[in-house]
Amino acid sequence: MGAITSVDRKNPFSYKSRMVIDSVVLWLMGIAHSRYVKPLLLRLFSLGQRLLSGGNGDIEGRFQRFFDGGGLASRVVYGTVFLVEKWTKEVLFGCHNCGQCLLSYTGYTCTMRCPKGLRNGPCGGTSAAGKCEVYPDRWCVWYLIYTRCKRLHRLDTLRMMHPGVDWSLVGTPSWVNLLAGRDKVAEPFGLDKETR
Amino acid sequence: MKLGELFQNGKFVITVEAGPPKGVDVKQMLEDVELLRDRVDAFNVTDQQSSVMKLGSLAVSHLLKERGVEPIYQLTCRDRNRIALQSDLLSAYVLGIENVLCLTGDYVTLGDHPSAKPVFDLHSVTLLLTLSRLQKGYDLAGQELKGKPEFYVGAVVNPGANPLESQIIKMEKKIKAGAQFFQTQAVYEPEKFAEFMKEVERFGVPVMVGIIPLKSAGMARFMNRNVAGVHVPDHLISEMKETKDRAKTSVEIAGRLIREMKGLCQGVHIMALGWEKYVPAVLDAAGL
Repeated sequence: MGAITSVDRKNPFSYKSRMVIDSVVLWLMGIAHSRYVKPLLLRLFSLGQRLLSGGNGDIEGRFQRFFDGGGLASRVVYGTVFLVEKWTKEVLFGCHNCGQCLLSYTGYTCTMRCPKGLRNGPCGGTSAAGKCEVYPDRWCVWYLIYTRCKRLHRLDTLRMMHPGVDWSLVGTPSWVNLLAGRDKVAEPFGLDKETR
Repeated sequence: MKLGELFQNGKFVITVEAGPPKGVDVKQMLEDVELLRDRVDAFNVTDQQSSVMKLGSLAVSHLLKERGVEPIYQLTCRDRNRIALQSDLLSAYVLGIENVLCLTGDYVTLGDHPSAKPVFDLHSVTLLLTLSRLQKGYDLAGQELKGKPEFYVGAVVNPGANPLESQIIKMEKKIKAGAQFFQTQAVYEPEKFAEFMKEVERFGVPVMVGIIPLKSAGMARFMNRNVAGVHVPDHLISEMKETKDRAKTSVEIAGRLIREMKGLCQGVHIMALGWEKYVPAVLDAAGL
């Protein structure tokens, strides 16, 4: 994981073609994430909870010990999650593997694609046409986030306060970090208590 | 003195920019400061503005404080990680600096060292959160501090941003994170500024409108093309084009803009960009 703040250098798609992919994906994701991905993660979460602790106790700590333990099972799970998450998110969202994913709060737009890596809202440099001040041929990431969240009726998520990036997690799978309680972006599924 | 006391007393607060020089010769800058010190309440000391390497804002803020002039210490996240930012804030406090303005900072490629590593470890909102934490006596890692700093904390907002709604959401976050006053990007359209103020009045924090005196019609057109969220309307551009005395017209326009907007907000922040000598005339024209 090189410089996260330098944008899009290693992405296999040109920016324009990814914009087309993006709009299709956004639409599909809105449905898929809420209908399938999140319920699946929640189910895995409670399954892991049952396996590791019999349904009670310090679940995050147990996940953490499981992944830190370095046994064969944990390496296989970790490696699988890592590859699945990395490949899908890189192809679909130009993910930069920050290890503390915000995609579900940003209309499935990777905030790390912003040159400044802004996580809490736009800088003052968005052009009237919604383009980035640093790379005028690209969309401002926060312009996309705003328009997408608006389309998804999720403008409330823009009000969430996110801490600075935990650079010790960069390059690790955010799904594992979430389960192990390392990811302080949001309490594990804390945002979605209503769906839990 | 904290700017907050002035706002509380209902004073219309006036600030200007003091740009540190590129190099160590501070004579010209201090002369500009002397010229204006009796007319303004505080000086924003810029932190490598536009990513151009300059003398540091902490040192210059200290120089001003030594001379009995009130600095607003600007701090950006472009060049320092969270360790350096926190340390600089503590340093500022022990040097007697009382007002801080927290910004993300321009991107490095817009300045004179485009090959520099962009840091952006924190950003405006997270820097404000960090500062609030320091003021409670803890650092970002949760360690207790020996003695805690106390600042009057500012942030910036761009009333011409597109889309305005997300800019205002961010402003709200900045307030939650600890911002106590705001300075704006340059404004040339009082009607649009009035709309913006109507949106943000409910936050109850002082807003200081940004004014950049136009130096020429060319400068206005340049800003329209290159500076996001700043729009100089055509009638001001033609006023600048047709005039014989550019400085006089510039002063008139700036004074008029301030007069039209001073009822809407709690202060004015003038960025003279080298035309510091005309600031007293601008203030006269504005009736301040």
